Amino acid sequence: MSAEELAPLRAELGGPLPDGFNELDDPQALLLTQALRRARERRASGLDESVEDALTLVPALTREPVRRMLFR
Amino acid sequence: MDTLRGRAETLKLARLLDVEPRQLAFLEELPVDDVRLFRERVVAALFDEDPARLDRIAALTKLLPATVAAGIAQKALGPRLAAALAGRLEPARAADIIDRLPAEFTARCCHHVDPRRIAAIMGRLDDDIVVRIALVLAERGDHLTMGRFVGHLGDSALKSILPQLDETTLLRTGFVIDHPERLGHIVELLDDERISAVIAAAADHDLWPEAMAVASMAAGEQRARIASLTAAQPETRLDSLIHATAEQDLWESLLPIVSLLSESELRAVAALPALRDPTVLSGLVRGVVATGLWADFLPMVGVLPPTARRIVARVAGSLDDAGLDALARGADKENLWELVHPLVELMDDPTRERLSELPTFRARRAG
Repeated sequence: MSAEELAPLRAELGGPLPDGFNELDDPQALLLTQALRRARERRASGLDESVEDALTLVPALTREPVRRMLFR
Repeated sequence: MDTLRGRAETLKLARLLDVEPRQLAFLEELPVDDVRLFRERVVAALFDEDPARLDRIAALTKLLPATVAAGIAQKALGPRLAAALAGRLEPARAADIIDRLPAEFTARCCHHVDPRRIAAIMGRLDDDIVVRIALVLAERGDHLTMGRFVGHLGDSALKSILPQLDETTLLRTGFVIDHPERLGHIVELLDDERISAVIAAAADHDLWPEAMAVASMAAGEQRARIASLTAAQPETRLDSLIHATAEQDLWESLLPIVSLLSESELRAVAALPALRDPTVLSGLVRGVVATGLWADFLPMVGVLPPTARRIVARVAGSLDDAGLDALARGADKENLWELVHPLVELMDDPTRERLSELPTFRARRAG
């Protein structure tokens, strides 16, 4: 694959791809790109959910200020 | 060996991305070091995202006594967030909190911890907690997470853990160990009886690829020990090893291990019924042509029973000119002509004529 065709995977990875990955075909590169994107989204949403769960233990009146302080 | 390393790398990446390993099977065709490098970059992409937010939460825990922080981690944060924070804390502080958590909870966190932070944290944990975490992970069948950790364990922890793990866990964890350079030392901590039990488990549970990978990753002396203890297994088990190798085309992994055997051990292996099967022998020869492992293969040919040797000669004789020339170059490079001549004598006349016209044979005659 050309460097241009691998650009979405490179962007998702946030850095260069190892040389061997130039051998990937279109569906393979797409699969990896989507899998990595989903993994990043899952990790981010999983952390968000954990944070929200944790905030339920903070008294309601102070919850918003605490949220702003931590996640501004 | 690269085939098995490729499989292990694919398993690790699939776990990281939470996809079925078979979806990533195409990665086994790429250079294994490239896949490992890609996995390391995926770790960075996943764990380096939004560190500021985690750092702010981590900073708050510094204000709390470790016991209180451990209670909050368990009751409020949950394993995912607790693991993310552990990756942002000073390792000593993370270890201080982990020491106060139940092993069951910590084991659930382990899967979510940034793999790059494991070494620093593990080095500060008491053996007692490390052992309990390892046993919970083993009970959960979480070999991939164990594989991330095991390379960082000290001897005293290993000596407590290893006797408590069953043989299949040892094989499956060893297969995916993140620091293979430690494997030889870990094997050294197992006595002969235990290693023999592990090898038996490989035969009884279809785990020969895992066993071959472990043997290949072990350092020289330990690899030779595994090879010898394998050769001492009953014939039916060794036959299953040969068949598994043939079915999965893993000769590149097995032959370097076989080459470490003494002559008497090699004779015992060469006499196996599986090595009289023309299909197996044909795959073996083609595997050697593909990998160039002539120095590992030809000594075994020398001790094969006559029928098997004739089959090898016939299969070798059916190779195209490039394959035959590769054989000749391999023999020349490793100075193995003494082992090639008996094989050539078993070939038919047209094949011998064809051989004599190949560049390497001509050069040898001229030399």
